[in-house]
Amino acid sequence: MYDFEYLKPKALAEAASILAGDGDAKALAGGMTFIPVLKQRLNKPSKVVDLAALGLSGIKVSGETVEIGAMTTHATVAASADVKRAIPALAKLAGNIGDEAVRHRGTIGGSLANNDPSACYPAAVLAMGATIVTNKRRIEADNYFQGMFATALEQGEVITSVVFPVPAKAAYMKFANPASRYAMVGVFVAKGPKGTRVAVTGAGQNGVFRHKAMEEALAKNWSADAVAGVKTPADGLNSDIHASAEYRAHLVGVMAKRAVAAAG
Amino acid sequence: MPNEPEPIRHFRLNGRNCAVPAADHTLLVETLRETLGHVGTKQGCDGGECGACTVLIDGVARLACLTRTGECEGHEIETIEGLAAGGRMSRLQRAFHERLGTQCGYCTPGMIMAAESLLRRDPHPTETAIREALSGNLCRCTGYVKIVEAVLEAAGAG
Amino acid sequence: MTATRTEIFSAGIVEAGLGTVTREIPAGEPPPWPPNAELTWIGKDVPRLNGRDKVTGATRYTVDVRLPGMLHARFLRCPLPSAELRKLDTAAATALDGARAVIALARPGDRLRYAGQPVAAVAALSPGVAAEALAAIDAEFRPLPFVVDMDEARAPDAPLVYDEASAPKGNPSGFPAAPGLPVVGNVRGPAVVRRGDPAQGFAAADIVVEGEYRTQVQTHSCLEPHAIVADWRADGLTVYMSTQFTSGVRQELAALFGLPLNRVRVVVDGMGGGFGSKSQLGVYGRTAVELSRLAGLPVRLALDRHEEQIDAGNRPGTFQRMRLGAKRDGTLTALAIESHGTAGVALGAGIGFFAERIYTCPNFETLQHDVFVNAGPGCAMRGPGNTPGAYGLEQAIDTLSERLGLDPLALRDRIDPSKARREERRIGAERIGWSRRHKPGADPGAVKRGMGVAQSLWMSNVQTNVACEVRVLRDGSVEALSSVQDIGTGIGTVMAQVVAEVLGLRPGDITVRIGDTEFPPGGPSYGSRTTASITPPLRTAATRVLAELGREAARMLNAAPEELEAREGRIRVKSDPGRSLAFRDAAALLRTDRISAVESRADDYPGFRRRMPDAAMAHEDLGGVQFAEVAVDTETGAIRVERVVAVHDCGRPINRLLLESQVQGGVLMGVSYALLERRVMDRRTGLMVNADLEHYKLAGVHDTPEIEVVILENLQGNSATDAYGIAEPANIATAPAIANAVYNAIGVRLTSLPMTPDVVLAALGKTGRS
Repeated sequence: MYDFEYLKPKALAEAASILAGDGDAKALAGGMTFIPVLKQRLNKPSKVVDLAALGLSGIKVSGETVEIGAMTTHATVAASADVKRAIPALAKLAGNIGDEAVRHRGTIGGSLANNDPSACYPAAVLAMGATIVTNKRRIEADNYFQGMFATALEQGEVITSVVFPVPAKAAYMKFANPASRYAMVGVFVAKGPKGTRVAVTGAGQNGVFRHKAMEEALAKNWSADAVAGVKTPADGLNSDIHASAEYRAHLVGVMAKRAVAAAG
Repeated sequence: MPNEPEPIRHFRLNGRNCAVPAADHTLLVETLRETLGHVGTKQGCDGGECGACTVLIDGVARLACLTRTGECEGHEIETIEGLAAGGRMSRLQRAFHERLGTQCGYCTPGMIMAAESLLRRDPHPTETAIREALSGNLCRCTGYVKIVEAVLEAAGAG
Repeated sequence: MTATRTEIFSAGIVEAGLGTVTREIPAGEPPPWPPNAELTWIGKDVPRLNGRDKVTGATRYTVDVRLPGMLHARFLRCPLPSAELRKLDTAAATALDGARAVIALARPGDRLRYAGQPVAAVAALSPGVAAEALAAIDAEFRPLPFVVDMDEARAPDAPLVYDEASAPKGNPSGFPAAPGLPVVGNVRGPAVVRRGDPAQGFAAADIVVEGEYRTQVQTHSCLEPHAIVADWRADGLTVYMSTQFTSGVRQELAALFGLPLNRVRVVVDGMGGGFGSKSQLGVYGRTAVELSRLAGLPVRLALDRHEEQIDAGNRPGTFQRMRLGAKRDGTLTALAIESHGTAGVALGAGIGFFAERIYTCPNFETLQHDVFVNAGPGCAMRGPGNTPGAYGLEQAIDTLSERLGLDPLALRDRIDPSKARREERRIGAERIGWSRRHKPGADPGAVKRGMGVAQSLWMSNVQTNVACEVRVLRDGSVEALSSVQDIGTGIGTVMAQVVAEVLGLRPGDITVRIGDTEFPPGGPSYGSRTTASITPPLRTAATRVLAELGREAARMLNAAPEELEAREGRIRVKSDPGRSLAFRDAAALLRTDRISAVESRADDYPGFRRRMPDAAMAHEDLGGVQFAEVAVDTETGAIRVERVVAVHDCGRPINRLLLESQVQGGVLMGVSYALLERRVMDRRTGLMVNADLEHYKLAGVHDTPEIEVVILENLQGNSATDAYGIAEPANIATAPAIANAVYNAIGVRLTSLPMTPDVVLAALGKTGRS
């Protein structure tokens, strides 16, 4: 790994000001993606700002929302009795990210800030219409994701938590890439305070996206059959060594159907 | 080239206090293998893909190749070398030995540490839970059959 | 002429009923062993003797070796798939503080033929300084046209990987490729095997089946990378190396560096997998030794995962075109295969001898071609040639059986002359529940299940240049020694069982010292030959050393030496077991601190089918039949292998626990080959896209089916132990068994590897292929 200046501020404002003042400084959450990037010398940050000491982890459940601190690990979300009760689909999603060691280290904030096009959390955030809370503002999910590895976060802006409105029905189905368990295609369906929404991850060239045609079909008739009839065009979908765009388009339909069936 | 001395990190390693110099970017796997000579922890990939470097941090499975030594300050690290207390194989080690959970053995330390993490949390896991717990650990030799059998046996004996 | 004597051996498959065979054997060889049921340690489950070290992290692998003053080496590699080296200036690297040796591996003007080809190497005080030194090397590469795709490389106007003069020449032994074949463009060959008259055979056929099959490039993906620590000193060279062949590497080093053999020592303790890729010294080995010689210090060179995936060997990809002619009753009249394969810049991409040997067919022809592409060199990998070869032929046989309206097992009963495989088919069919098998595609529902079978064939290899030693010390302790290495199979444990059986001790009483050329030269651990090669001389050596001990004991027991036997830790009079001495007490009678016997490998008793300088092939091939049961999700295309029954033979099984583990591992490597693994080369850049373990997919614990292993005891009276290998046969049948099961599930045949979900859906007509 490159040598770098490592900082572990104790206060959010301090972390934000370091990051704001230096465009080459990078925030470190769980490090599951970032450390390999550093090891392979794909990125040479001037400073690495560790967010671990800012007290950003924890889960709060009120009647209508589940708020998850940015530094909460996947393992914590998966094991949380509160999350399991309020949004079981979210706990299940977290429990199927990567493997054991990754879940004990990877965080929801890290995943969302990175916005890997095949990560699982972005689908949950977008489908449930969650709000990304930062040190500066609250960003609606629809405005947050801006393409592969791109988000609405500005320089010096740090995610502090994510607020999920509790849906009446929700489920996530993914077709996992072998070994890494990243989503080849993942579909999150939700019916709740933010409407009937379908978000697809792993498939889009620009990262997670809402599937409007499926949303309309489900709004009229919440059933697996309703989405099974919706065709997903392959245009704009990702084609890589693991699968073609056309195959992914097909999988979107299959995963959506299974997700709706699972949501009940 | 003049270098600043590396800061000293303090943590518990296999039940003993340990103070070791490590730069901010130094990874735990480097500290264990290169600085401390604890070469039981293996490296099989360029980062986070094979599980051979699995160790326990505060009793939970973690990858030493994705953990900075600096993060370990004040924490409890356990490696394969620490499992055989007083030279006696742990129940998991004994089961891996007797049920032939090893072939070349290169994945074995990581495999055992991942299984150890599981058994501490869930002393009587189902086979599904065992497979889930070992899903980040690659083995190129055994076909995993006897590995899963070994963990089942250790769980049964425990 | 050596003196001989006649012995009657039990022969046949124990499970199916034994007969006998009479052999003329060298007079000094021990008497025949009875079937395993009558032996104490042979054929039993004995856990690995060094297992404790493996589970406690105490085993020392080459990557763990640390010597005082050791330097760290790294390669500068060619970044382009094809280039001319324009400039190579190492002055700044040499001058760098902490750099101790720099060598050029190519010269300006040289043609570089694959991305990853070593160009220079440095040794420095730390890995960090070595990396800095690499960065300080001023190298310029002029890009040249390249081709990485085998089909494109066959085109007449394809960029040439070699000109005729520079192309590899092949090996006089014919393995991996015969010498003297023509090279046209990037295509070398064909290597031709022909018998009878194929044209006439096809004319006489009632039915002709044709098919095309494609297999991918697979990387060995050993978890321990290729690694060496070389320690060059004035009085000799010591090398610690993760190798499958210590004495072979010693010979290579001695020849290369002009050293006498007695000044070269090669050592390996723990060995983290090889699968064929760690059989030779290699460029990395040679380079580390050269750096150590220059620096006067030990040098460690270990590849990282990326290097491991691009330049540490691979199983060549193949394209096979097959024609099969048969009579209505299934009798084969003709078999013709034309294959093209690519081992990158190397040779040896054929489909082996599987088709040539497995079925009775009077008219036969294979035309095998090597195609050069700009990619890292292939090398032998677990059942080389036969593994891709079986994928094609065993599917063609499955197709033929359907066209004939015959059960695939019944067809094989007609055309397969192997008695062992006949029994294996019978047992396997029963275990898997073959009678439940439905017609292709007949399973209703979105998830369709199916069952398939395929067969294995590998040669019974023997290394004849093999020696070992057994020692008894005056305190009764016993040592068995050989330079043979344990690559994970557990050969040390097998050795202890053999010696324990002879001496009437327990395997744990035997200290096995192996993996060091200070001991008598053992054979290689490749070609599934280690057990077949080392156990017969070991049994003979143990028998000799026991005879010497027996002479002392006989005096004490007032008996003739030939009246004695060694059982349960005692030397006793056969007819009067009460008259006995503890083994330890017998050893105390020795007149020197230790007695020893060194033995080398004799011929198999019935001779060999073929003899090479240091190796040979026994008469009977190794068999194996595998059955697979799969579930195919026809909505996602995902194939799940739910169950495999693997029935194998390897002569006399010595340790069933170890053998089972070999078979399970071979099966899973086959599952991984069938469903997941594939080296992907970018045709635009010429680089490997998935040179890691995230995008190059290896089967994990979730992909493991239930694997049921049956191992026959197939006695032949061939040697003092009658034991052969199993690692390769275990891998060969798996992928075609899965492919045949997938066909049975969905009624559509997949003809290329890996059989990924998108391939399945495209075959089902649900999506197009990209």
